[in-house]
Amino acid sequence: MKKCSNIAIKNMHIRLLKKNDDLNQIFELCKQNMMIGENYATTYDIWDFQYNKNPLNKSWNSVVEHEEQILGHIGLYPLPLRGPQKFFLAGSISNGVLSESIRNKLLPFKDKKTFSIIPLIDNCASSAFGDGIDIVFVHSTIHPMIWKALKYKNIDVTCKTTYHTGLKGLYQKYHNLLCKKRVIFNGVLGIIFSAILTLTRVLPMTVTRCSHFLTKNSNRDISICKFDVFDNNFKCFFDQFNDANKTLVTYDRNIEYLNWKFSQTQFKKFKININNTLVGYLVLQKNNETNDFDVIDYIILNKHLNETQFIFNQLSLTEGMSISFTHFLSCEYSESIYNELNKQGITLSLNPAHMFSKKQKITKAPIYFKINNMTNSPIMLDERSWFISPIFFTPSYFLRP
Amino acid sequence: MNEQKIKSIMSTILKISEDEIHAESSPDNIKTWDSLQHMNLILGLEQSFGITFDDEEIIQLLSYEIILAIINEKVQ
Repeated sequence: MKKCSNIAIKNMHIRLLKKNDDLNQIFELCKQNMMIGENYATTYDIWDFQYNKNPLNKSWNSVVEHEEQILGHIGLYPLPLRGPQKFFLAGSISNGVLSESIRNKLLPFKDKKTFSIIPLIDNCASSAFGDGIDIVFVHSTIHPMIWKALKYKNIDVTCKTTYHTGLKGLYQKYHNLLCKKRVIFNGVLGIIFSAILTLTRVLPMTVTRCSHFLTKNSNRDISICKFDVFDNNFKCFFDQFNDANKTLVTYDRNIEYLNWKFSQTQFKKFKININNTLVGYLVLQKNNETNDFDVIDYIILNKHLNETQFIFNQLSLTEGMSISFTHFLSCEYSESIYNELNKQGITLSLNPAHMFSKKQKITKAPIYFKINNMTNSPIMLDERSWFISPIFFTPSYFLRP
Repeated sequence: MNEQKIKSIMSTILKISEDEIHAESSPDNIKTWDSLQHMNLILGLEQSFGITFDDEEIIQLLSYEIILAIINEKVQ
């Protein structure tokens, strides 16, 4: 790739991606500028899946160009949303990348000049808005002030994580934690202390699990079965879920989009039946770094929310899974799931005295959206009604090594 | 007073000495003044002066001279 250290503004411009553009220039740019490691850079497979093979076969992409060299890119792929009584088509921003050489270069923007990232995002979003996209949605590590400058609204979302595992998984978690953080605990010491810490968790785990088993309704028959494809049997369940949650703004879980989103083989999909009726589903993805499973999506009919503990118990005990669930707390429904799982989930602490502690790390999720002002019917969204799960995020996130 | 405070914040965030900052200082002549540091600078100024900038101002604050003028106006 040609190195550009001194670029004159007059030779640099922002435009939409053309069919004959060399995508390798973008992939190379991603490789060189990916802060979390080259392995996480966008590849042709990710690009094709995300931008070409989505259910709309459509995406919006803008680039910064200088003398036929692409030095920046941002993309939007379709994200189906369901709001109060209404379906929206949103565009989700992904793959924002800018060559270091142009990060302090200014380009025209609304009769002024500003940093190229701002007109680049604006160009891409305007193109999608022009095509009738209702909302642009973004979960991004790009500086919050940039979204403020572009008039994006912040969604007030708090993240908390619960872990669900059996004794073996718990022991392994402690062993990894000790050996990673404290080199002194390698070897026999690591085994002894991991066992001690695991035992300190046995009592609270047993108490919560027993109390749940004792209070559960013995008349119901729950089954948790693996499946591969979302078929027509899900339609009735989705209708029931949507009817019971009319005020939520969430991913429009329809068969076409779900089968696209979860078509890759690394997902484990489970459907939850109670008395032979489909009442929920759970999608997990294997996390190669920790050998755990991450929850990508979980919904269950509201009247069965109290079965959530049992479902995660079953998976951690009978399937031997260690499950990590990052909850995006923004609405009553997400808080209900979290509250159920927090009763049963374990907290990892290296201090044995914290055996009953439920203290958790709380972080704010950088999630923003902007509504298309050009649409005929104005969209009003209550920010407390967003129900967000990892299903919202870029499909490329799912294809990581 | 404001001048000194602004220079101090700019110097810390843009990693340059205060002596290098003058009226025309901008991303055109300060290499470290990129989009990320610009946003950090805006945040730093907001926190230090207890003010907030609107979206237009975030884009507009692209030289020491303009920053000083807008802050003087806001803290008056």
